[in-house]
Amino acid sequence: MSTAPKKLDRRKFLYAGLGAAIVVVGGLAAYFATRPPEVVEKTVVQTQVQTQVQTVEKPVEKVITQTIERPVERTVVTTIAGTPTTFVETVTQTQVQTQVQTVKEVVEKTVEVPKEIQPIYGDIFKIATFASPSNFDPHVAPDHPSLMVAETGYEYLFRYDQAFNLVPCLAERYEVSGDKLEYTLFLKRGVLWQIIDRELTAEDVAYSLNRTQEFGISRSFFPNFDKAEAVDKYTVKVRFKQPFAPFLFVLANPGARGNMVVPKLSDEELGKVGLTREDFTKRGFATNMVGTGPFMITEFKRGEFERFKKNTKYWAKDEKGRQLPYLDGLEFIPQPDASIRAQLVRAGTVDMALGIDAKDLPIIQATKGLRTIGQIGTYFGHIGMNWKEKPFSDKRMRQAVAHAINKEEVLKLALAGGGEVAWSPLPSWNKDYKAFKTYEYNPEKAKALMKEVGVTEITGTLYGFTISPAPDTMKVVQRHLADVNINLEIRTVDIGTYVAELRNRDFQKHTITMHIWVDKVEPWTSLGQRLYSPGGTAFAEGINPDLEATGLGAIRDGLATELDPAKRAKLTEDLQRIWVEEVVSIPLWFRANYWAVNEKIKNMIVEPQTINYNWESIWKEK
Amino acid sequence: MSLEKITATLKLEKEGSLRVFLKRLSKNAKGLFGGILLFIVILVALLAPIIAPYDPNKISSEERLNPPNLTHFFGTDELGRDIFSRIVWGARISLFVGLISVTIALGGGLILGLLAGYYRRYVDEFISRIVDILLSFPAILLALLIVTVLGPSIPNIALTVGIIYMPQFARIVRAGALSVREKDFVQAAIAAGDGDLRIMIVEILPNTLAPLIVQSSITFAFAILTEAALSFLGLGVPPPHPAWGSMLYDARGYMEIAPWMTMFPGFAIFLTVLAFNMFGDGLRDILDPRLRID
Amino acid sequence: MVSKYRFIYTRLATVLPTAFISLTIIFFLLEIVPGDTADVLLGPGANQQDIEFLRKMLGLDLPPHERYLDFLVNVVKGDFGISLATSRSVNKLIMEALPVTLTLAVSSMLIALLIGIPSGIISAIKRNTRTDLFVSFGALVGISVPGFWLGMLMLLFFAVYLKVLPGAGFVNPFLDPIEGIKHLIMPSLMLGLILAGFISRITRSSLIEVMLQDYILTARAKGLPERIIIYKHALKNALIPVVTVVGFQFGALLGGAVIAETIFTMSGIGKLIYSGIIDRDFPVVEGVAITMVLTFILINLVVDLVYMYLDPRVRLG
Repeated sequence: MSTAPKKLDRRKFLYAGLGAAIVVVGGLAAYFATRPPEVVEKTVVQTQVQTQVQTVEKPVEKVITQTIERPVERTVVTTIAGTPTTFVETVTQTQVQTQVQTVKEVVEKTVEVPKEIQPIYGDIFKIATFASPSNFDPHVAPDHPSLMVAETGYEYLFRYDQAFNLVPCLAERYEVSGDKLEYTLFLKRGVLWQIIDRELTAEDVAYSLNRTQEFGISRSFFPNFDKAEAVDKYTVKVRFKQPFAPFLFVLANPGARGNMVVPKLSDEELGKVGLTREDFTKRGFATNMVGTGPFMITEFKRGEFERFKKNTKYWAKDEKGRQLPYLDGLEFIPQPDASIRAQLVRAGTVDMALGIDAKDLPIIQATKGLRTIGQIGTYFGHIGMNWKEKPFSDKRMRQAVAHAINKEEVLKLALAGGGEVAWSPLPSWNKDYKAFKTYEYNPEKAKALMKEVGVTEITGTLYGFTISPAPDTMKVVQRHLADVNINLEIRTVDIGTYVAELRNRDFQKHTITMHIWVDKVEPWTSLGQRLYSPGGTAFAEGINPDLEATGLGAIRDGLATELDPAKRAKLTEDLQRIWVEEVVSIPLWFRANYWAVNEKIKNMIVEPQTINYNWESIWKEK
Repeated sequence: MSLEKITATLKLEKEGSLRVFLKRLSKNAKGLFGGILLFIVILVALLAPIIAPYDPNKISSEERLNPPNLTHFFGTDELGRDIFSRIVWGARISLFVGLISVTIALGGGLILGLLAGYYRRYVDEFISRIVDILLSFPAILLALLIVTVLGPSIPNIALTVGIIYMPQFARIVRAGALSVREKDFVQAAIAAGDGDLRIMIVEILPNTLAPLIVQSSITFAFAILTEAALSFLGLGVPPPHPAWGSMLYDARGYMEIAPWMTMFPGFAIFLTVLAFNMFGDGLRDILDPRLRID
Repeated sequence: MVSKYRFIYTRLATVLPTAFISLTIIFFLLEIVPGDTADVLLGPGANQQDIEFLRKMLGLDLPPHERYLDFLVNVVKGDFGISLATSRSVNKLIMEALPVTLTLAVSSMLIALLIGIPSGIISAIKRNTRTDLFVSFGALVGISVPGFWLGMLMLLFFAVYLKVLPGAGFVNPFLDPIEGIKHLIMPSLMLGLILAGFISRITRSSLIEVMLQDYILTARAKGLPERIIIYKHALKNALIPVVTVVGFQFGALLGGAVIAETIFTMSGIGKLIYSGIIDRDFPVVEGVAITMVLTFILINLVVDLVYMYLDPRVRLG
């Protein structure tokens, strides 16, 4: 063919192709290989110290110190005023030294903090959050992102400080009747509602508390509730049918639904909000927020942003009498991927990123102008077995599984060390926490126990959901169990399937289930409340203890009604002991929450449940 | 015309045995290179238990995130697993997902496309609408629905990827069939009273082969990548199986901390995709005599 | 030209049944998927009463056929109802997401075409030369790179290291051209570069195929200049498979950009349908799916008309 292209030496193609491939790969390799070690090395003795002074009515100083050597080995010392707590793990000697040094540094820096800091007004605080909210109605909102958004605009009757003491918010004080059935709440005066511009009254609070009984979701946080009534403009009486001990704490606890105060709207006021009575009956405050809080939502695009502007008529002032909030507005940018959140804060797209992975801490700390805050939170990973079927109906088999798992390694590998090993279903900062190291890692003992039961091998599935760190935890647990001849296939599904299968009690499908809960601060709210419905998803499969035989039922009821602090502490201790000894579930870890924050953001206080920020008193330096 | 030549070649190859084919292949540099590379990948997949120095799922808290060294050629990942062993074993899963999904997509696409292109009118209209629906459903919607309903497992993922790409094959075959249908030799075959099936397979199918080979080799690449993308949406190969795509996904947060975690699976994907594409090109050149250079 | 109009009419007549069938299929597929919105919103560790309460509130306790009929009545009225997971109007959610998706799809397709077609042509004309090798190799790299990996690498490079491009969000380029384009660069490169590799390969192989057709050989024999042969005669025919690919890839871009949208925190159609499925929010899934099916039928119509222009011999039934 005369038109055919020139004939070429084919070997040259080959060489050229291979050469190009090598150049590309080599280039990439060189690029990457030269970068990261630099960052890691820098952070070997990197220490992060910050000191914060809370301003609003609860002057508490908080110091967090972290000593980090590679993302794996990490030591967190958290001193929350009142309850100093230390988490130390796999500490090498050199690390202990750095620890002492950091403590000194902390002292110096605490002194340095000048009292006459001038807060700066203005600016927008941008935050990379986990997801978009689903519902703005605080009495219905079922998920964490919704509650986080609600917290900017709505307020509680009480809040708690960092030592978990109650402090006033919308209610100034309270009185309890002798029979513990009647609470009288005295409200703060001069609190204005956003948009409708009228004062908060006892009518609103009574309406709000009674409203929780309309919604099953909030009702379960107020058992034995009778009704709330307005006595006069600023006094509310709340009656219970039987004593409900954690009432005030539930009012203050973020994440306990139904405790934020909403207004009782007249038809005219509904018009101002942009709702008709019909809309409101159907959907409540689902799409419109009317609170007393420091910020109001202005714009919302699901999956992209939520924007807030400041409530100029907010009731609170700082200790020098300056109007709060300092910030002009907030912007939440929902980003589900932790690595991308970390990149956004490094890029300066946001001022703060929530939920940073422990492995990314060194890189963030090496970035100029960024700091990290860390704290063990309420995110609780544990695994459960089916109590109703063989072989796990036998307690010894459950003990065998507990002995077979090396929790330290799970924490180190699955969470890159970012958290603490759980020896109880409560995190160690909880004031009623007791560690029960009843079943420490001992594969030989596990095998012996299995032999005793007469089981040599188990095959089945390890079931859990796809959201990190569940899959990584499951990978490690699977390997540990394989060592004692429990061979499990991992099955990860999305949240919807996970919950539905637990709800339908698909016992045959799953031998062992990985659970992750978001715990709460107060023991009844956290664990007791879950024990009310052994038929619920938490207990449908895997964890399904016999409440009578184990005595957990009685403890649950005791926690709901017992008012004496000493007895409550005892009940909580029993609850933890039985939970661990009976292997209701095997606690694995509590994850640490890490925030990456731009150093320009000042006066920020964090809370274990990652919801309750002091939005009103944060400011941003120029 | 040209088509007779192709059919003749195909027949010749059938009769002329593998030797003729190999001889042609050996003269086609691209095809040869692709073929050898592909052969190596398949060999690695088959001999995985012999080649891999470690259990691909063995975790170790001491050897977490080790850079490449003499004991771990490609380093270790965040759970201390040996990346080299995982890539070797991953060849099995990735090839399996790729091959099964291409087979499903190609098989389904051929049947739908040939029927539509040959019978036209109502059959075409009906099939085209089905294909339209399949195509217009976002691939993720299909994938999510199939995987959530059937459960995440390697065969189900292969099936999912196959179904996602089937309509594309159907369209290509249909387009080819439609244009060939008008050609004289097909009309002649119809006039001669040849059976429908025979005409479809002998006359029409060979004429749609060239774009199909290219599409198949590209789809193979896409299948591996779709598996990776499904991991991003939480629907990938279930852990701890070492598929290349999900390895790459797991490594996304370690681009700076442990670049070897992304580099090696990425390179494995690239090499395999390269192999398939070059082999595909070569194959087309060999099958289509007009394209031969020599 | 009567046939052309008849073709358009018949095609449009099939729109309604197609939409109806796909709507029904999705509805019942979603019924098979385990779990509902209440399960997802309340999450693991929820208690049974709460879940039952929420299901009742969302109307999920009604039997499927009742919900299906309710939904059909709504759709006929042109209203996809209220999203279960967000309590917002599905129509509004779609209207918010469409501009993002369309802008992203068009800009990525532009990048893909601008890179893909010329490089494919060059590669085909200079077949088996070093240029071809180089271009083909580049195209293969494009094809074998996973989108999310490219996206995250770009985010790291342009947003974190160089700080030249914003890492999150969408700004309408028609309202604010500079910011809009800045926000679009990374996501559309991520989608466009990979597609460019694909289009380049299709163009190349198709053009080579056409160049060996008898009529091109005849044209050569006539002594027509190579440039005219390629651009006037060959290219038009060679573009037919390219148009096919562009057609369905454009459709895929409309719904399949979920990963790009997730990485760059934009909320388009892809993310909407993804979260719809994850949340078991069937009004959203249905609404988006119908929108997609209709858009796709429209695109197909256009593609078929382009076919007719490119190759008048293709008769359409």
